[in-house]
Amino acid sequence: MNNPLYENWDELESVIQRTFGKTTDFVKVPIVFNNRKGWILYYSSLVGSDDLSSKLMLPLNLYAGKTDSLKQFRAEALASINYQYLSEWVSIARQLNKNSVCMLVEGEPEALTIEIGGYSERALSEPNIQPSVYGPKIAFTEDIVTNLSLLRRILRTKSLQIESYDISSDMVTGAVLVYLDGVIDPGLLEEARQRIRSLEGKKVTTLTHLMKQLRDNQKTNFFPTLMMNERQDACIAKLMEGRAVVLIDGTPSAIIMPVVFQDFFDSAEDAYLPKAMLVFLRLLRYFTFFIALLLPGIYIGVINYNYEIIPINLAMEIAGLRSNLPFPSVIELLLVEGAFEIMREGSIRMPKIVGNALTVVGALVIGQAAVQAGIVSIVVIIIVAFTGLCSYAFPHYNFSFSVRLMRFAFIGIASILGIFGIFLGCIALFAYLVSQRSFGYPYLQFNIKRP
Amino acid sequence: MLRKMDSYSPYQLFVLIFLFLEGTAILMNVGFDLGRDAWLATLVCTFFGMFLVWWYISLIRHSKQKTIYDVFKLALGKVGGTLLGVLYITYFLYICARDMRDLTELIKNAVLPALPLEWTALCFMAIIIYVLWIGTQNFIHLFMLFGFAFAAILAIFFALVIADGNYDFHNLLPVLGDGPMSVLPSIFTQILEFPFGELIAFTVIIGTMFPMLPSKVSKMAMLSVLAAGLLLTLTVVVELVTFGPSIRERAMFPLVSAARNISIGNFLERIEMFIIFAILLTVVVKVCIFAYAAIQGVAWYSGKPFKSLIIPYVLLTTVISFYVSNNMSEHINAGLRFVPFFIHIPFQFIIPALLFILILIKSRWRKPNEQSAV
Amino acid sequence: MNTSKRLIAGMVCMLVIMLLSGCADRVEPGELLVVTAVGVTKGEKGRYHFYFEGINPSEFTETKRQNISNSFVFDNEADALSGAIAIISQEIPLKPEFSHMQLIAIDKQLLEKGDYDYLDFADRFDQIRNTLTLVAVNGDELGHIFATTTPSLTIPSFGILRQLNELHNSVGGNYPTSLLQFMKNLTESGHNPTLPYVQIQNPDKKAESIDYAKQLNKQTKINLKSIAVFKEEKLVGELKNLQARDAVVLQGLGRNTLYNYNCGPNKFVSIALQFASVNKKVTYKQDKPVLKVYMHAAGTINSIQCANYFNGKSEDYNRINKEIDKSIKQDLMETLTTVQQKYKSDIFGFGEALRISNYKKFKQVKDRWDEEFSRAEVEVEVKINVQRSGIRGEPFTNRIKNKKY
Repeated sequence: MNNPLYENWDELESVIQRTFGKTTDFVKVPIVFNNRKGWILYYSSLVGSDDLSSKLMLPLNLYAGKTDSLKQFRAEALASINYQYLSEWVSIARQLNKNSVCMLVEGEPEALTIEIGGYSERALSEPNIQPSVYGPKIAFTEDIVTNLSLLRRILRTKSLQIESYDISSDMVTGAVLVYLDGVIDPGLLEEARQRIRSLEGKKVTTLTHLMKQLRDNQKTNFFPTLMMNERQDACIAKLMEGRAVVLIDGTPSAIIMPVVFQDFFDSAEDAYLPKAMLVFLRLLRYFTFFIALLLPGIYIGVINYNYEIIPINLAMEIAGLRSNLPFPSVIELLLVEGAFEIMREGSIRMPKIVGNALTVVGALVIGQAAVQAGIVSIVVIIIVAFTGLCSYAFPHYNFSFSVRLMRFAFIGIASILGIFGIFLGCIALFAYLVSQRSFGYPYLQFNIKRP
Repeated sequence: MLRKMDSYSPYQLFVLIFLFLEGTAILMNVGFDLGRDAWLATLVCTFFGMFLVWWYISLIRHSKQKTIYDVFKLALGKVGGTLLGVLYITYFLYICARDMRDLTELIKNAVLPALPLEWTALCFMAIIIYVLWIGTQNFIHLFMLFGFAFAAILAIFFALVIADGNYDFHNLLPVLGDGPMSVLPSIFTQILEFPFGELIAFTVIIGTMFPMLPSKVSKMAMLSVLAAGLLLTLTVVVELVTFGPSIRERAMFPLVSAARNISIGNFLERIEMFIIFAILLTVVVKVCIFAYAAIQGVAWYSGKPFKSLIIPYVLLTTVISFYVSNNMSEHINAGLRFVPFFIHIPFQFIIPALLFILILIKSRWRKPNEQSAV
Repeated sequence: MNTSKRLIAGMVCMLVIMLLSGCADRVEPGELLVVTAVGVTKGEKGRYHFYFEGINPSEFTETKRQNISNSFVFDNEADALSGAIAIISQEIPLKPEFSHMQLIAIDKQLLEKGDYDYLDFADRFDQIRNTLTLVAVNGDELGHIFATTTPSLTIPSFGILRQLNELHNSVGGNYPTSLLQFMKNLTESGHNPTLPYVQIQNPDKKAESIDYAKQLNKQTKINLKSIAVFKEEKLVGELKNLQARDAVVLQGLGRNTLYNYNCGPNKFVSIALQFASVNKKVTYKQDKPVLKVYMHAAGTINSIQCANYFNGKSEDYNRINKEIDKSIKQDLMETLTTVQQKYKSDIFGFGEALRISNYKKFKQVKDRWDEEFSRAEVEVEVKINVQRSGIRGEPFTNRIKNKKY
């Protein structure tokens, strides 16, 4: 049997002191409950005073004198509020960390915790990372309840199942697994449950931590197998395809899982497009994928190894532009490519007002000046700029990280083996992609008819 | 909807056999001494090839085994079976090394002339090891992707040949000018063995892919051989109509030469790199399947896990590929004259035929026993 | 040691090998000498005298232009083309690059002797394009030809090629023979090769500088009017002007051309032919070969100089059809018999026609086909269908005398 909450009422105050320490936002208020002594405990940083007085204090004043026990009081006065009866200090502390208020009354063996909440929240806003033209203009917020309501407001069906998990080291941060019952593959569901459960006790407080822990093959995985999404319609589309969505308290995005290679070439917008346009856009995105991945490598391979491929007029032009330059082509390309990556990284981290100026200045300085000084050739600037443009064309931002890194590998192999190296690299890359699994599903999906 | 890869589809077998047959055959000068009738020879061989693949599959199906190594054991007992199995493993490794050499010679001659052959082979070997490393199911899946890429490149190539307009179908005439007897010996001593007879390697794979070997599988395999043979014929025709038999006979890699011939608007020239990519894909398939067949055999006899054998055996194959011949002429001569006659014919036709007969006799002899057991 | 560590160790080894042995074929485009044309004549010190046309690539860019000539010619003597390339490396601090070579000009004298020893390198070398065009030249003129600029295109070899292609496409006057085609005709029986014969008109030292482009009256020109005729592997003569055009048409290589015929004293009707197609057939009549040529094409009236000759009626078209048929037939017969009697060489591919239609006979006469060709009877049948007359019906000359309005 568990230890009781307290041995006798008088030493309770010191027990509370011991359990919660001297943190300043912890509030303990002595009350009188039907002539018995009592305590109300809460964190002032988690419970708003307006809500506390309207939801708890007012009913306490009105009903406390008329009820005999805590249970009766709750049933009569606090019927519409989430509650729990707890008899352990650990679980009480956890509950308090979840915006609750704890009531202890002399003579009652269990403590009542009721969820009050009431701290200030951000209002719903438009999606920032994944803006759309036609789709709903609502993005997820930091509050998990709001996010769930956003989902259920569209999927008004009883098969929409929500499972809550208390993860993280203190078992406080709440993660929620959402799926459509009957649509989702049971094997996938079990796998998802298991992975989330395995997180218990680890330091997981935000979505990025969660992403890191949920991924497949954490060491060798190079392409994302999870997708962050802040759009309600994208999540719903994926849910209806039989995938699961994970939400975590405090992060305004959802994780969709499992995700395969092809998903990074779809955007939620595509549903609004006619079929022909859709096919065109898909092809365009795959094309940009290959351009963003291979173009600098192909450039090096062609320039340095397979010069004969270039048509003669262009060949003369390139030979002219490349004449009397200080660096070999590879070094030149790496310099410009590196400068471009730095520029890109710098402009993301800059405050918004400075950011625009930086990109323009950087482009001007590096492009124009370097060409005029005769340090790099203009061909390389064109190649790098076009490649950079292509890597922005993916609908999903986190996919382009893999592509950007892979590009350097291809530059490396092309500088050693030329176009032949690019071919070998492509084979290796696709062998890698084929061998990857996302929650047991092949990362590259083909629609092959099964017997 | 997402799908899992749980079983093999006959379409996968189709692509596998197709790419395997194209393998080095599309690269090398098939039937180079047949002049204008080389295409006819490949076409005729296609039909024999269909029969061959049906025969190989029914050999496995009849004996109710998974691989040809099981069949050896069944037919010849443990000692004899092991002996024959080792011979076959050597055979697969040798062919694998020859194919590897074909590709490295192509790269050396047409793409990177200054690079040492060893280095080209090492790079290629690394790819083969990785492709084998990712597992059977995955690499068969990967070869589906290769199939799409290969089909796209070849389609573009043929479209460009037509757009270029630099061809003359009169180069094919007269058909069989010197009579059918000038073609027949080559059909049976060269083209039927290379590439069609090399399908013997599938006797190791097909039983593990499709445990019961339903008739759908052999139908699909035959269809695939037909498609591959037709494509091979088409490439030979393209080579002949673009530059005639006398240049084709002297060409080391006629398809690559045919690709070099394309010139559209002084802009689209020298597109042979794309063809070389297509060839590279098919050679990867072929080398992988031969290596798989050999290593599977070693794993079967030694009981060691497949993955632990990949690196040593592919390394061994690479080393063999250096020493398989001294110069290009020896390589080609051996490949098109010596090897088919003295190595291919026994391993592809005679031994399987004897096995087939043995198994038929044994099964008839055993039948009463089995029935009583059931 | 677990597998991933082993894998990483292997990868590191590969990387080291890669860094140690790679980069063998690397070239830098800035350090290349792009050779666009090669000329071969007989040499004195070495076996051959080679002329090379190299490019000054900086002239083709906006920013680095120095206003020097776009190309330059250099020459040396060696026993083989590869030897000459070795000599280039001794003289010019750039790596010669042959993959963009477009033209090989060969001295007539070498061709007359049937000397092709310099060509095997071009046939075998992996950099060379199959579309490389061969031309025959007069050995003394070679230096001038490679140095004479053409208007607007300032690289001589480009000028020659463009001119040759233009001539072939618009009037079928000559045919740019590629290396591969030449090789095919040399090594297969039944079709002797021909080459375009490039000559220079009024060679002038002044024309060999970039200042010449500034002059208005250009007297120095490249002349492509004739084709060189080969018998077996030896050059035996040339066909000039219209006969050269007829030969190209008879070879079946002229798709578009222009034919004239007289409609009155010193007055001509000219018809542009499109889609010209020539079928050749060889039969044996009592051991004497008969060469049959069927030609048909669609025509358009280009100009009519005779007044009242054409009224835009259907009968007029028929009349013109008959007249042009007769005229073309006569031209082709003339050209054919000239080649038969003067050169005794089948440059038209009648042997191939015989091979296709009667292989047994072809095998008998294969080795003496040129004699058979020269004693053969010739039958020519021409069927031109003149279908349209441009955007006018009757010519205006009809209405000068006979005004209607």
